[in-house]
Amino acid sequence: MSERVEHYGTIVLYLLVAVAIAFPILNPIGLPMVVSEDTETYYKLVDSLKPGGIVHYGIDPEIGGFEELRSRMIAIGRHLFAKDARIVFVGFDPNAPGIYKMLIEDIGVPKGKVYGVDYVFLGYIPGLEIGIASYAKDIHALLSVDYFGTPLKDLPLMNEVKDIKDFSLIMSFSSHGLPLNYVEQISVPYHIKVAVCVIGVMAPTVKPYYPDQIIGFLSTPRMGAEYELLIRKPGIGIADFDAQTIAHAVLLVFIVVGNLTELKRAKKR
Amino acid sequence: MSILLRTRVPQVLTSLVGLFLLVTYFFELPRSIVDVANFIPRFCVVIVAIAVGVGTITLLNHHVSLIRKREAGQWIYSIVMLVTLSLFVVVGLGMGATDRTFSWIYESLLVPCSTTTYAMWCFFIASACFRILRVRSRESLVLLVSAILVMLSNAALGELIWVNFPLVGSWIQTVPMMAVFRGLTMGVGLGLILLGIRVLLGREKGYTGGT
Repeated sequence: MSERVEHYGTIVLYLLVAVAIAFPILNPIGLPMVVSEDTETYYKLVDSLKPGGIVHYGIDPEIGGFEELRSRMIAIGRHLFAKDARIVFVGFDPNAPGIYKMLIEDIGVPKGKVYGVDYVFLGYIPGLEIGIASYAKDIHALLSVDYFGTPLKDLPLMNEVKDIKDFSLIMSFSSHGLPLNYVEQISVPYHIKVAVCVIGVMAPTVKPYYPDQIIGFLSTPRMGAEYELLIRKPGIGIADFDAQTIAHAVLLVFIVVGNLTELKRAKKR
Repeated sequence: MSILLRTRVPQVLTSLVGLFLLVTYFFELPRSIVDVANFIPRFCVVIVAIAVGVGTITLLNHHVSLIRKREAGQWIYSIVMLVTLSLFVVVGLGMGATDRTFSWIYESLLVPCSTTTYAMWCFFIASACFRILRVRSRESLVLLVSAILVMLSNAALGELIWVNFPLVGSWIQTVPMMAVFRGLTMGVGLGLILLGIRVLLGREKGYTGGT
């Protein structure tokens, strides 16, 4: 009996998880949630920006991880534009140019915001940690043109940014260890705290630096939904959260079934 | 290539550059020396970009050799890899990386493949939960209880049961988990400092192929 549960259980589990995820994504339910303290801290960080403040927006995930970060990246991007912050998009992961194109379409640049004045995209800077160090020290010495080949001196926004100290806020959205490189190459030498958004599995590695070197920290897809609630623009984060909740419920049932099977097996022994 | 050129020269260069950067980081020095120190990381960024090109050539050689040998269970995939790589390189170099065709290939090929692979984790993790989160010992009971609490705090279920459930999950992540990871991080940090000193002193030979 217990062997049959083991064998068929996995197949049934896969099917149920697939349905549990697909259904709420296609038909978002809008399950209730309490906004966590970490999300509120991050929100206040963005909300306290003065109009015209310049923000470094690090597009640092690889493409798979981007899907987990997507709701947070969109919500925070929209919030930044709503606060009239000026954004310097740049990436230290090779996927940055591809992700930027999708992201900027998802965020939807508000009317009146002009490329070069209100936001720019500097493209991908290779070298990971060494790339971050060079960027932090002197952007104009490292790059002469933006991603589209426009000289930086022709972009009004870039005339106001020389190095990392000219940013009001530094953000990194990543699915790997890049936030740690931000800590090592920005937080420590320049005494500037960074705001970080990572995928769930990276949270334990990055969280030890919060709140001393990292000033804002978002680590789960749930926080994307919470951020959408805070900016009052529901989006894919809410659907992701519904899917996560139902999938977790299915998993909990299966954990109970697995333990009952184990108990039965132990009794037989 | 002699051993001197292959191992000793890179070791001496690494030590000299490392020591130079270390000194310029910690001490106030004349502007001309600081300028040289600022130039080195920028130079490294260019080297890394060139290394991507070198890596691509090595990758090509490897897969061409697999195709030539008709390596069982591999050569077909090597053809797929070569075709895809060539497609990206030809379109990217020919039309430019900002061209719509290049973006279309990226969004229609790489994005769905990568995200699908990433999404498969969900099933593996579900299966792992079903098989592993079972009470077989006291330790496994602790693991099971904390896993359930974190799961409940990450989903709306927890709040439906008890409104303060997210705080319980947050405590697990902020206190016991952080204590363990801070300890690990400090251990790794100390190890890295020792490794750095060994590299600077020329005692570390692993990165030049030595033992």
